[in-house]
Amino acid sequence: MWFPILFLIVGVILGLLTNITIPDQYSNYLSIAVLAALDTLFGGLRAQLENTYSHRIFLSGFFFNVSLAAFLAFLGVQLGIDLYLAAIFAFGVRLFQNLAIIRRLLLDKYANRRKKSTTF
Amino acid sequence: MKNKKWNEIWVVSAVCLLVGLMISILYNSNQQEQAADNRDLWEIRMSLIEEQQKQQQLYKEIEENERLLLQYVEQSEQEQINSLKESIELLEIKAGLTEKKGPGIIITLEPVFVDNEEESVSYPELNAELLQYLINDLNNYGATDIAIGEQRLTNFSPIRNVNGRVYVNNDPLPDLPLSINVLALDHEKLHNHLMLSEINTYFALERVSLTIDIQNEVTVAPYPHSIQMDGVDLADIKDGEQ
Repeated sequence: MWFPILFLIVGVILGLLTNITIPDQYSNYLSIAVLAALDTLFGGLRAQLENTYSHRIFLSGFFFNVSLAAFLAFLGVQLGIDLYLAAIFAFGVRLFQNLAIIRRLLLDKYANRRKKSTTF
Repeated sequence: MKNKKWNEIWVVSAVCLLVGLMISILYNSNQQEQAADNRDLWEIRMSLIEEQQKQQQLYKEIEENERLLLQYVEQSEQEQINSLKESIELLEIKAGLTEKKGPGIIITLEPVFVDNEEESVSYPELNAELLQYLINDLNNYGATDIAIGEQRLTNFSPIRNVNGRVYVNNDPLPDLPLSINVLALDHEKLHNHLMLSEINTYFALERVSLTIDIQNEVTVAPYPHSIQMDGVDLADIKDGEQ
């Protein structure tokens, strides 16, 4: 359980230490990709808590969502429509929903555990 | 079974690593934008000099104020009152509430009549914009005290058109001819600047002639009203510095 979080932190530190930057015009794509990745991560967490986690869905979802978001942003720039706003909106809403469900599941788990300990 | 689970954890961890990397790269690029300083060496040097001058100015002000404070502390009550009165007098002179004499110039504005038999010629009139232009020019060239007729200009003095007349300090100016008394630190330089200035042409377009006399003793009248300080705040003091 702690392994992925450790890796997340290692990734952040690695990125900060290497000091890699991307050009200004591409930062839009990356920001949307980050949002999509976060969405997938929280989706995976939620699925794990609901016991419906699937390895394949998680992995394919991650890459597919990230590339779709970047493509949407690219298309938006080409057509002159702010399509990346649609991606931000969709991922943002899903992020909040997933977080809400994760919170509820964790609270339920906690309540169940307390109930068990009091009955003993 | 256990092997498969570990496999999954490794994959998820790799994805997390990727996400972390992406986040930090995004953070880095955004940070980089704000910190970009593309001034060249010369500009940096100039701004350094500017800051140093500012610092020196501040030190000087602090020193002056400390000396004043020391004076206040060391003096007896009577002396304190006297020095306060002195300060008030000094401030009144600075604000333009007193009459002032010194070397300067006198600018006389006179109407010019052009012979024109076809049209009846109206009497030339001043307008506020022209007068403001002249005052700006004077201030620009180092004038310290200015009085338009009997109206002393202070930092609060408005010059504006009201019903076709020019008002200074909320009093109407008399008709032409009119004299403007100006004191300056270097009145000869001011005189030379004015002789070369375009202001003569602008006044000539309104059929007003400018005569500039340089004199060793010019008197400027005091400000005729009391200065209204309502609604004036100290702009320099930041919050929490009081």
